[in-house]
Amino acid sequence: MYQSLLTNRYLTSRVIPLLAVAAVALCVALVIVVVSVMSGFLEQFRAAGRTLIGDVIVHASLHGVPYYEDLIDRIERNPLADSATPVVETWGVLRMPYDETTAVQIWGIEPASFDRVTDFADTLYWDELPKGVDRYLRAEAIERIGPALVETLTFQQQVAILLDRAPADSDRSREELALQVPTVPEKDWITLLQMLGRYDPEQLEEILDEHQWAMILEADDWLIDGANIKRDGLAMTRHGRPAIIAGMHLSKGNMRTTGGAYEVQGNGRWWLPRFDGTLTTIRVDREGGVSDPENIILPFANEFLSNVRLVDKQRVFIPLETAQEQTGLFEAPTIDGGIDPARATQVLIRAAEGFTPEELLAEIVPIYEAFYEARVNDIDDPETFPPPAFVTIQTWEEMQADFIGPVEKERMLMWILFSIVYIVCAALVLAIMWSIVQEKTRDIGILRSIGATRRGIIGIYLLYGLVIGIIGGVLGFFLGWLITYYIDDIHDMLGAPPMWLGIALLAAAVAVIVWAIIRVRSGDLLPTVLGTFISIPLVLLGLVIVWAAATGQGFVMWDANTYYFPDVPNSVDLVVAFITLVGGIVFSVLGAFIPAAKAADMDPIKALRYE
Amino acid sequence: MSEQDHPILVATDLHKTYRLGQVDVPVLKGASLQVEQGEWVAVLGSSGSGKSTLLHLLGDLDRPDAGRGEIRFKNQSLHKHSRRQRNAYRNRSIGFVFQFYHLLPELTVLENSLLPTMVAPAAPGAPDRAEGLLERFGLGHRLQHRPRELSGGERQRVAIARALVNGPEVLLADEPTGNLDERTGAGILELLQQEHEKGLGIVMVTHDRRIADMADRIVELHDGRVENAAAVSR
Repeated sequence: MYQSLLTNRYLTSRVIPLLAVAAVALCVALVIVVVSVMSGFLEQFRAAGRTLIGDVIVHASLHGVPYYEDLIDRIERNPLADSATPVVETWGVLRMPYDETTAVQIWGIEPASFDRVTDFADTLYWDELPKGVDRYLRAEAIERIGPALVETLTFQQQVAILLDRAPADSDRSREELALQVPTVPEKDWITLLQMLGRYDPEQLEEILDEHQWAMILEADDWLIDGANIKRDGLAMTRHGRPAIIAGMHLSKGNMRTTGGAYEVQGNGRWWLPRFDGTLTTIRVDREGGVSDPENIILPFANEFLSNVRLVDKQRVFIPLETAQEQTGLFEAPTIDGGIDPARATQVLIRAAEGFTPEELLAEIVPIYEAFYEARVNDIDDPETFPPPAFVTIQTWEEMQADFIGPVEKERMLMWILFSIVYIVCAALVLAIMWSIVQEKTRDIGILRSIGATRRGIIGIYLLYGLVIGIIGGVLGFFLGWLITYYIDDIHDMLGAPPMWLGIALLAAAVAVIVWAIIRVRSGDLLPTVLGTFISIPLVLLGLVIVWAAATGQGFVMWDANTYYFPDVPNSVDLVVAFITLVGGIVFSVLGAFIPAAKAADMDPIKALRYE
Repeated sequence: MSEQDHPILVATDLHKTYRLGQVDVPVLKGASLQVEQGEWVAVLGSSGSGKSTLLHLLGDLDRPDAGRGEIRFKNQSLHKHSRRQRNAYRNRSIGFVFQFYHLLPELTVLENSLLPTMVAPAAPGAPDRAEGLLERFGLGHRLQHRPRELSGGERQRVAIARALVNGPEVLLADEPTGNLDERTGAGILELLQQEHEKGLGIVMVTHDRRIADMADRIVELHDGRVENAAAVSR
């Protein structure tokens, strides 16, 4: 009974317990924010290792697995597998439109099934035309339909085109230009239309009639709707031709902004999907010999962003058949009249909902064995059918071990750092509670001298520590949750600090200074010290923010350019948050318990003399 | 011999040595004292003579050196007490009054005086008893005040009310007026006198002969021994 009375009075009649509550709350919040952001970041990073790879990968040599359609059928019949897709992997050289060649990893894929396994569609970056690109696309569309369009031009339109393209200082009249019309050859009309389409599309739209304008747009429906870029990316075609989907960081035309979006260099000029690229591959035959390089020119249809730097920097996707052509893995008749089936070098598999990659892996190994037994004799040369021992079947984590290894190490490092932060916070809470109870040693002596039991006394301070721990911990939990949840907004605010914040800080500084001056006149030293210590950081912070807001500068801590994720992770790690909350309470109780037990063990006399 | 005939509190050959750093400082060197039921004994001694130590031993706040001296309360040896019995002894059998009041600053006057009834199971009616005591001590209008709002004399009255709330047989007072001016001190002594007249035994430690004169009997503590025990005729 007296325990709760005293706890209540200790809490409500003094400032120190409020400080202790604040300290516990801040510590708990700090740990929650740090750990949530760090583990969120690592989780994103780890998850990135899974993009574009599926859950389980069947990996054969460069010469591939024949009858892969049958293998995929067998896999998809297993309830643990959701879907599977074939891949032909090879290496090659890509010549970029701006006269540079770069080594690339080429994946031949079937886009539809590949999307089912890897959510490929989500990684396609362009679903609208970047700024400035439409001019180029329009000019190219006019070139494509040139003669047909020129044929529809009326005399009036031709005069208007010449008039528009005539130099401004020309003093030739409309009549003179009209006389010129018959002398202009068809290819010059196309050029003139292209120039208009590029530099003065409004004028061109005005000159042409609706039908003619629609002809241009229909020649490239990317001009009609940006969604068509995505559609072509998923179909891997451009104007009916098989097309390349390149990693976002292959092209030097793409510049990542601090916000994580991309801008195209040269005001749209270097947008990769409007070009063709030349892909050169080298076929390796079964004896390991190298034949002549194969060149193929393919348009780009879109670009993808997986957020795995290695992949985005060196991978291109092309249609499976094209890749099979390039690598010699296509279906072909053999000399003795048989058929050598098409092959795939990898089969990627997605686990069905609710199953782990490891569970799926255990199913896939026997499936491949059965597949091998059943089909090995169907092929003319069974030597070319990779036996189970020569096929690597791995989960994505095993496959990406090189990539995930450092992440795991970083996670380790983070846990060590986290433990240090945690211990520091625990020590702080411990120290504060310790000093609070230490200060109460005399009270303990008084209570002992009137017959309070030691257990009863420890009860007071346990309750005291518990209440401080619970209030502080819960406050800290919500504070941490709020900060983490709004961390992107906070970050954005730091990136572009609002003027009002700076002015508010400066106003607060002025208020503190005025208060200090008023109090100084009463001769006290404390207000001067406090006022100085509070107003200096307020003034500095306020000035910096006002300066930043006025000049448009900001503090970018999370530069998406560096981290490859556009946002700061903002999901609270609930397990850690809960552990931290409990830890805050435990250390508060412990911090109160140790000195209280010490004081209760003390002779009442010593406790009474305690100053 | 009935219990009535026994001295209520008997201390025999008490030794107490404190250790200050490397040096043993003997404070009590065989002090003995008897307090009869309802008797007021003043222990007179100069500063550092060990009179507070004697009082602390009598109140079982501290214990004599191992095997060197014994204290009996109602013919029962204190050092045979279990922890529970020690707590009960401090809580009910005696009351302690300190020179510096030792009130809990966060509690009100009434709560402070009720503390002994809260820390251990108390007889019913404790709040009424406490209020009655405070009323008698002239603090009836101060029940809900905090100690810092009271004068020194008022604080000591609260401390005495606290010491008496469980109806102890002996009050142990350690320089109860030492921190008060003469007039206020006289008020406190008058109050003790009133309680004494109602049958309360008092052991009061002081260095002031005039205050000691209030007691039934004065003993002097000199060089760690109770040397000169003289009855004061009243």
